[in-house]
Amino acid sequence: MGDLQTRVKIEPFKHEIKQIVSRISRIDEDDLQDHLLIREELGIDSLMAMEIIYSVEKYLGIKLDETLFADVQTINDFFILLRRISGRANG
Amino acid sequence: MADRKLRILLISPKGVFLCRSPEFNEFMNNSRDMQTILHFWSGIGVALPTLAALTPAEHEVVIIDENMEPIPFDHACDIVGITAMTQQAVRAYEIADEFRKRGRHVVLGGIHATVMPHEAVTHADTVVVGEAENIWPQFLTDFAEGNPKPVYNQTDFPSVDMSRIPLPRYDLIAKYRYPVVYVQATRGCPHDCEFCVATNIYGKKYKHKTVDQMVKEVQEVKRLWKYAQIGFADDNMFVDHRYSRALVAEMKKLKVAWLALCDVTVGQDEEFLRALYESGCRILIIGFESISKANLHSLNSDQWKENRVHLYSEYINRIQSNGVGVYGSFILGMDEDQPSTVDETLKFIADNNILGANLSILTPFPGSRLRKRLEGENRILHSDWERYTLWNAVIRHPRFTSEELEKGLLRAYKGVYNAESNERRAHYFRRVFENLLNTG
Repeated sequence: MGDLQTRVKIEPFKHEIKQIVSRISRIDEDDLQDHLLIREELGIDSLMAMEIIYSVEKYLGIKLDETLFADVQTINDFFILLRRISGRANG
Repeated sequence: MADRKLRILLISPKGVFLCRSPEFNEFMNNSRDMQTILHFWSGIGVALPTLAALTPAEHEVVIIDENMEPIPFDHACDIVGITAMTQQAVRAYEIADEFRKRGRHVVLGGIHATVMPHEAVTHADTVVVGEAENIWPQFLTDFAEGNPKPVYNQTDFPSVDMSRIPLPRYDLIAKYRYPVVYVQATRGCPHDCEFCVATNIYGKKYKHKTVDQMVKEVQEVKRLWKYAQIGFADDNMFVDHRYSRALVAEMKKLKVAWLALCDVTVGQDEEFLRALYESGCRILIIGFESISKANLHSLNSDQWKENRVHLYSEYINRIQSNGVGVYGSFILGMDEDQPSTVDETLKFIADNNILGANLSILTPFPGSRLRKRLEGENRILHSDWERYTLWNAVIRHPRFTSEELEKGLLRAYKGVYNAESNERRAHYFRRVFENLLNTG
């Protein structure tokens, strides 16, 4: 699983998360621009969202509460939330 | 005259889909889950892009989806082609009448014109009955020569060979940012459910495009819509097992997310389900119709669904355990429905952790065996096609009033889509994906 604090602070974190989103949504990684709306523009449905959340959990080694994702609108929102949660997880 | 360049406008009219009641609309507008259902059905079918592809290149074709933009009634054109399902019929006729006032030659086709040609001819200069692939080129030739016929019927032409259908002109609808873009690989369904019109349109014979055709179609859609999912608009996609396996193997290489309609027996093949998941298949829309054997008894002449209702749970579990969500289609208002039916259906949906449900009220669409039976029983209350939304009651039920049926449907939707149910489904799919990730 590796050192979480290291992962969340370096750029590969974002790259790896985008790879997960790309694998599940089947959208090319280069097209996953941070400002795009996850549901309306990327067309990520609830099932994809669940798979993304659990895949990211496994990658980061943390537990995510799905209810926190209700306000996530964009890819960038997703990263902000992950940084906040993982930062908290690391004290 | 025959070499004349034609300007052709092809139109998909706005339809009155789902319910017209304010109470239902309020629920729809405030439910993200209901918006997901609309999301599935927001794209147009493949008919108009296919007609455009069948049109010789020297002619000019424009496609309009009225759900996405207003009809340009003053568009300079020679021919207006309109396709409509029953829910769209009234609007299709309004549009047809407007264009005829402007001197355009109007062609009506699609499911509703096919099953109600005597009605369609009163609003059109030409009506196309049945599949249009062989008819459309002949009509264009006849029109260019000044001799278009009032009715063209597929039965007067050779049967449509789907392997000869050209790549649909998706480029003509790429102006619309659909979340799901529909393609079609197969036509027909062997089950001939009483309420369904497909058998009347295509016959019981099942046919399909080649795998190579479908690869090109999917690649074209992916080229034009990088964020859209692919929707297979087939009536029942996996009937031909060898074909399905070959197609799914190719889909895996195309990096697309996709959904399809099929019957429940897809759930009997673990290996195929794994292949579906790996190919990007996210959702299967499956017609369960009812969980009552009594209701299913007369649905198919061979009791196909009645004989499988005891397997529904096993198959759903196997499908979803492989990471593919099930949207179950259930019909309320079938003859044997009881006051407990809504609750029993909700319990079945909850017990089986079904990802989503499309619920509807039994609707006797023209062209169906159901309509003939209910006409004979004097049970059809309305033939105003704008009421044929699937969420409005248009029949007389042995035990329920129309209001009770519609309230029951709304209660059922609220029972499926609420915070508690969503949380339960999320927990279920957490286990599914944890398991897939740990074993994959």
